[in-house]
Amino acid sequence: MHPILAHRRRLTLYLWAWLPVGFLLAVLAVVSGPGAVPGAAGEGLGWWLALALTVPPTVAYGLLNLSSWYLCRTLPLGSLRPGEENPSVLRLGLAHFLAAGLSTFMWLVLGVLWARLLALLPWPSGLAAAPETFAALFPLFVAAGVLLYLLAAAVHYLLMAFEASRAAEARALESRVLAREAELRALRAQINPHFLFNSLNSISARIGSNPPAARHMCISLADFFRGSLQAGAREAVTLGEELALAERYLEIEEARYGERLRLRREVDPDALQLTVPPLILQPLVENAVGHGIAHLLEGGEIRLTVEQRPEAVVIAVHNPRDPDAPPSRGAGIGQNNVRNRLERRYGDGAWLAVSATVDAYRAEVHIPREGVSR
Amino acid sequence: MSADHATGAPPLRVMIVDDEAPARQLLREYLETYHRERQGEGGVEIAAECANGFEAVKRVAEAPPDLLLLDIQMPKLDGFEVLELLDRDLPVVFTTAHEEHALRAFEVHAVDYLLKPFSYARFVEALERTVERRRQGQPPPRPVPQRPPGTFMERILVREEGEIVVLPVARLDYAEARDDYVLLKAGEREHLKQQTLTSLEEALNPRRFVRIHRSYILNLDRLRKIELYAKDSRVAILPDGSRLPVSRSGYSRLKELL
Repeated sequence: MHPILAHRRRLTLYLWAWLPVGFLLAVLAVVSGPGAVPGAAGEGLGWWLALALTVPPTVAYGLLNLSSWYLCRTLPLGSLRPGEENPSVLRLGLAHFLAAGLSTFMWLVLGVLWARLLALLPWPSGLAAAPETFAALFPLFVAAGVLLYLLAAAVHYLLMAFEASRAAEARALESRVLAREAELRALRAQINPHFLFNSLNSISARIGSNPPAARHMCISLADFFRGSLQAGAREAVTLGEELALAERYLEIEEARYGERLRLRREVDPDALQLTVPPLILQPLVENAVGHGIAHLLEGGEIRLTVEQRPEAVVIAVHNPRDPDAPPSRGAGIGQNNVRNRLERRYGDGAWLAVSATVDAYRAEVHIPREGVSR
Repeated sequence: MSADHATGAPPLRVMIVDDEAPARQLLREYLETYHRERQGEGGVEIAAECANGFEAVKRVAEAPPDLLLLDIQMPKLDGFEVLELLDRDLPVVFTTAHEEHALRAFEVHAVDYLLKPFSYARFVEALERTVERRRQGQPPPRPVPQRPPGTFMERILVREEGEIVVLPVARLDYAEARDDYVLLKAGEREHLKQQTLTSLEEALNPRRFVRIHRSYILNLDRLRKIELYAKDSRVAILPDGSRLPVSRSGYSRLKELL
């Protein structure tokens, strides 16, 4: 799309901008030399002649110079796309000077035709001298033609840069909005309403017999939700923060499951300061409870491990499971959330791997080393 | 003087079944409060507290209560499976955080369906509904556990000499009709369950289990090959070498799936 032709307002503005250029040319024509415009010093008819000869052709030249965009597009100044080679200065200059010459030539032809047309008009009679006057102004028109062409090309380059930066801004904004939306969707899916209902039921149970425990649980629940929301709004959190959030979650679940839920943590302390995308651990821990521990009469141990390998950091959640439990539905939602988050941040560099045996389940997040250092 | 004066009414014996300790504690507290308030009318008595479905089935067999407060999401046996295993009709009030089972609870004629967390007032309402039913002498309707459309049985429950066997359907090789029972073959083990082959067939996923014969349902995963045995009669051969007859209609059903 032509940056000027495509917008009616821009086109109008552009053509209006050529009017003063026409007047300026008229002034230059008058002052460029006595006798250049007959009668200019005297009755003022020369002014009319000068204006008639310069203003309409100048506006027409403006229209003609709109075509410089096509050359500007083929020879962009400083490529906007990476990988594309910039045209050399020589090639650029040569092309534009050639185009300037061609445009100027066309302008002169146009001017001559216009002058002849003016001479044919019956009134005012002073215009009869138009062709000769125009011929006398040739040098001025040649100089102005080249300069004005270059000016128009510069304007086009400027507009192109402006449009490109606006498009980039729009793209950035769009991707931010998309990311935000995905985040919100993930959060909504993540905050499992049944987790909330069951926790509230546990609180309700403690209020009568053990008010301090009930209050403690209210606070844990609030901390967990606040932590989730805050983490979800951030680009990255430390692994320490991520572990703390998952443990807060488990602490609340422990109030429900009691002895049945046990936690073991095997975390490389050096890894706590590494950064990871938020909320990658909590969905896995939630699955470990909901699809593992909850189906076992005696419960079991959830093991959280963080291991630093040469190429990657591996965060894993291990849990026992009931071999006879029906295939679980819903485990996929949390895992998909984690996968999406990893993919958005690392592309193919990071992944979630799950493996199951008859009575155990393991979910592992692999994050490349270069992606996690502060 | 009326003989059946209210004070003479026996207490309502209630059994609590929930795998979460806080949930059981809450029910206990609510029941104790209710008992204090309604002592004049007989009050309530906690017959038993069970932390899982197995316990519940066992305790009901030993001493059936007047009311079952039953959680749905529990390990091994869920609330509906517990009901299926009970050998008698009992009024049931479900207590769960999941609203999506309400329809099914209604189908098994639950007295009430309490969504966690629930208030004491709402709890009393459920108890009074039970008491009302009992006073009117309404026999609690026979629960007929039904599954939501499009879902299938995932575990077969068999009572065996006071023990409950939970058999995941994936482990079932085939089922064979034996008079009023079905013989369930799972590897080396065989279980007898009082059920008709047709009702079992209806509960199983038709894409995985095929009625290959009037007397046989076969787990498709176990089919190794089909051999022509005589004109129009075939046998299905299982990996362990067992041979099951395949009827003509059974063969066409098999062909459709394979």
